[in-house]
Amino acid sequence: MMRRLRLWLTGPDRSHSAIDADRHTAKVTKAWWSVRFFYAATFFFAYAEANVLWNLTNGGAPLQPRWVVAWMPDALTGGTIATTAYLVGASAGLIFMQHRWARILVCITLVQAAGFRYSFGGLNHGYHFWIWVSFCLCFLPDGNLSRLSQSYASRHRYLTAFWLAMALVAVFYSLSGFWKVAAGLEAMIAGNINSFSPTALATIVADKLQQSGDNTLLGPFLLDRPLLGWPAHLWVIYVELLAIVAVFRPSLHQTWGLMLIVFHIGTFLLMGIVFAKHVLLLTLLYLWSPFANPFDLRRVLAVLPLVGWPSRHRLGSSRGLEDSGA
Amino acid sequence: MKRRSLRILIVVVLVGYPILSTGASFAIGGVKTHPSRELFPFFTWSLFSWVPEVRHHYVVEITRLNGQVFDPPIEMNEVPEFSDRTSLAYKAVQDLGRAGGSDAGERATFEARYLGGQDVDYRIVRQSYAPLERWHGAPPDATMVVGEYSVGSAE
Repeated sequence: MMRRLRLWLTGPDRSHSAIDADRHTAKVTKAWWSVRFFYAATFFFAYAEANVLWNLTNGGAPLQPRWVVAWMPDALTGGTIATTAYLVGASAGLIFMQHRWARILVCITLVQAAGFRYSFGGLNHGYHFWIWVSFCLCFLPDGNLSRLSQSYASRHRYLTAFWLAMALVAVFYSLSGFWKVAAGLEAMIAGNINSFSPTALATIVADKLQQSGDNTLLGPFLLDRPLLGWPAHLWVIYVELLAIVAVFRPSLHQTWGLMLIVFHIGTFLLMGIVFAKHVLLLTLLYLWSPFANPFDLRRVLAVLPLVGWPSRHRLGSSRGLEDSGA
Repeated sequence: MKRRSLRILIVVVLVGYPILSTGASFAIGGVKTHPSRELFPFFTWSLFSWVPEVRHHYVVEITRLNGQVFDPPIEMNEVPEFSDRTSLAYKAVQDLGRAGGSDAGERATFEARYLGGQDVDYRIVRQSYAPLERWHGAPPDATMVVGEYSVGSAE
């Protein structure tokens, strides 16, 4: 059943099946560099954010610990341990990323640092992607690149665990799209403004700007022309909802990564919301996807979920969608 | 890890995550099509799902600061000493407003963190408005004072 589901999600994009030994090695090399970059960035973030974490210990706010840091007795003790452990864990990941123990340590210390940071009443979602990708990378096989290259089984396991990280990120976006559709349908049935309304995006932006009291680069421009946001919002729902399909279609990896990055740039321009770690992960996992084929607009249009069929029809044959590099 | 185990893991993670995050959110905040509560680090990723027809928004207005009376009152964020536009401060005001200011412990925490060290009379006001119309200058559809409080020596 799972195989059928996978084939259904893969749709007309059969490029994934064309794997030969040399290309498999090339893919592992690309994935390995992305993983290396991930742990370098983790170290960078740990260092850059250490002061933010530490400042929480003397901000005067009482600790309201999340369950993952329930063991922390107070802000000072918790902050001291979480900040130090995050730096130690991230350093271990930077130096020993080829060892599973180091990757597990990164994941645990990251959860602790984020849990501590979110234990003062507020919670945002800047860390979640990073935590879950670090969790998926715990399942990479041990070994450096030369050792991995020598074993087909290791290469396969490496790429599978890497793909799991990609797929879980896609699940996050698809969930986001799913809730927009679900809440939109509920509001539509009730006769209220909803996700599909022409002024939906403008209303969301107006609401956000009034809550934050901030101004943004393009927010006021959109609010003076609310209908401009309609196609953009429908496009966002499409891209988010079908991210889980895109991850099964290697020809779409780079396109989807780029579209999601554009979406995040849009949320900054309109609402002032920055998801820096998300954008970096989309670059590492999707723009630099080890599974992606060289960009080919015709192929991308043909394998787009739901709306790709006219392009496929024009191609006249599914042979055009086979991996041209195989 | 064996190939088969890895495949099972993929199914468990990709299917388990949405079930767990949604289940936890429903357990905390009730069944909704726009769940916002979460059991960190499991989140439903419901962000901006609900387009607000009418927004009920709480603000803290200062009526007196260190002996100086403000008539009309001014919003907390307009007072340089108290201005805090972080999402944490925003959430604290909304939580305080939703609780109707009735939770003395929560109020004391808020006052210590955001109004600390000053003699202040303040009130919590609930505004209701359509966001887009409000942006274009329409006044709130309804304004209601939830509670009035004092902190510092004015108390």
